[in-house]
Amino acid sequence: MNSGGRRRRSLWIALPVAAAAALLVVVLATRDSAFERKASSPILGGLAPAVVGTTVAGEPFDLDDWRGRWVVVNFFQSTCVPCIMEHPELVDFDERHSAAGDARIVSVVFDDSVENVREFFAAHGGEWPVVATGARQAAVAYGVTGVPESYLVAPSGVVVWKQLGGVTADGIDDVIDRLSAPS
Amino acid sequence: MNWRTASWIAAVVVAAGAFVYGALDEGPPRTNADRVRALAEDFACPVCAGQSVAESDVPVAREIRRQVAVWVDEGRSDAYIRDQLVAAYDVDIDYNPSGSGITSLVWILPVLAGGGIAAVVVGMLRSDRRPAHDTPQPPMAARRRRWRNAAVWTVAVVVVAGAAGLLVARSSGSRSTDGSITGEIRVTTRELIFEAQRRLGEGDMGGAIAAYDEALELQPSSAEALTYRGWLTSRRGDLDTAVEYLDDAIAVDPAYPDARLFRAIVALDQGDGSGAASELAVFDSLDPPPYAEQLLARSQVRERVAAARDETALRAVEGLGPAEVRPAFAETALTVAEALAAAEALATRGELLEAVQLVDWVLASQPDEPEALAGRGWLLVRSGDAELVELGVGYLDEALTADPANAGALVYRALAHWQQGDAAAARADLDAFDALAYKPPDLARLVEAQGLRAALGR
Repeated sequence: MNSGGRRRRSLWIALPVAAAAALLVVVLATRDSAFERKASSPILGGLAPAVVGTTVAGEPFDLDDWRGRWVVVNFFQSTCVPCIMEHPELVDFDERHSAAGDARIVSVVFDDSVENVREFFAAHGGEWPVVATGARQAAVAYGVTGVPESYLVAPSGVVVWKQLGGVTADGIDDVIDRLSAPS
Repeated sequence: MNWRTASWIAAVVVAAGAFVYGALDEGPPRTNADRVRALAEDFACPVCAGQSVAESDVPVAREIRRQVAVWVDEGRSDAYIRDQLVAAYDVDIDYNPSGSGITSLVWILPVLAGGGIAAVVVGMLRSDRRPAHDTPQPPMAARRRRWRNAAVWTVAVVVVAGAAGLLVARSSGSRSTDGSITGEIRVTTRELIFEAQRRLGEGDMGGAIAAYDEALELQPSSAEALTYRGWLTSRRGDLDTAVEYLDDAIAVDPAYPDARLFRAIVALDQGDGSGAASELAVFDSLDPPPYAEQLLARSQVRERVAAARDETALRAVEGLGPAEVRPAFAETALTVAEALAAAEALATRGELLEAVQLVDWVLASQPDEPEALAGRGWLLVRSGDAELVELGVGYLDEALTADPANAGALVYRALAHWQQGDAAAARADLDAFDALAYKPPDLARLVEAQGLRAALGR
């Protein structure tokens, strides 16, 4: 085989390999980083998935009943240290808004027992509903990957913010203020 | 058409048909459990590196597995489950991404690369063969090549046919609940659970376990099958595995009383008295059906839980040192309830004097504590000695002076008055107890166990 034929053959091999490599680079370059994907969520900007079930107090709960208010949907576990650390902030947030009733919290139990949760709230305070039955469906619907994890649902029912890890009362209020401000 | 062209076409048709069939219809999984496992293997654990939901044991993977089991048992399709998980966790969770959008490149790129390489290989073969046509072939060499070609094609057709046969066999060998060609699954979960119960009644524990396993294959989220599978496992001595089954049952249905009861018994068997007490409290709050109460009574769980609690409390008291050097009750971290539980443990051992002395140690720090006064009174009343009963009534009077709604003091004094033959006084105390908004279940059971209500015509 002459050198012209070998060059053509090399070109034929190189072309598809180069095309595949180029496409791979394009795909990787245009994707969010792993951290950004984790901090983001496909449910952001969409209607909040249902949180329907029974609270640890035995009361029925449906997130849709709270449409018209800001709602913090907080997934937690009684034995998780960051959850224990963020809890006073949630209590603070609840106290700030309980009189006006413009914002509320619902906690959703994640991989924990009702008894542990009751003891947790007895020890650390907090008067808001804590969903136990139906919690797993909610956790999977929100795409929860660990606790604590919180979502802010706007009065329109749209999920507008996600927080991996502990929240602060000021932090949530800042988000609400920013999103409530006239554009 | 010569034989070579015909065999090319035959091989291509058979291979393409077999692979298309295999790709489109891998055969429905046999049971719901198979489906759950297969689906769990199709999704990445969202927080693990390189593990599927099936492989990982982190909480989020467990929760996803349980939810997938619920969806499968509800009859949801694989596509529905895939959509739900992708909607919540994004496409990264899906090991088999869809063929649309940017993710389609996952499928397109290998095909492009494969096609390109195949084109290059074909081109190379053709260029290598071209000079051969220019030179005349010796007859023997030509014959050998024909034989060789025929052998290669035969082997290729056999391999392709064999692969196709394997694919077809794998597909037709499976059955599903709605399978019509190969028949339906022979029994439902309900029937299998009945069969397991029947076998259990016959003392065939192995058969019962097999039936529960079969039920769980059909319906992995069956709380009843999980509960009784766990219970039978515990009876075989494998407590750790039993706990896994029972915890799964509780996760599926937290209000299933049988699971709570068996979990309490297993906790006791593991020496975890407080865990057992906690499960028993939940069991009591569930308004359990009569058969569960009978099971509870037969297994004496309540008594064992109380004894475990009392022994734990006694160990805590003994940890403070001998009675003569023990610090004042008020200086310890013990609660009155724990001190009374420790006294109960002593009384159960027949050490009544030591039990009374222990309560006196509490009263030395808190002389008006109604629970302690009631506890001391009850220790004396249950001795049955007339003088001690009289003395005990005095303490119960003091307890009710301090707290007129003290449920324990009312019940204990009612029993004391009954022992003393004063039915009217006993009736008055029982009525006062019945009028309380909250009647502790253990005291209500004590009243029934002593036959007090029937004796007093209440």
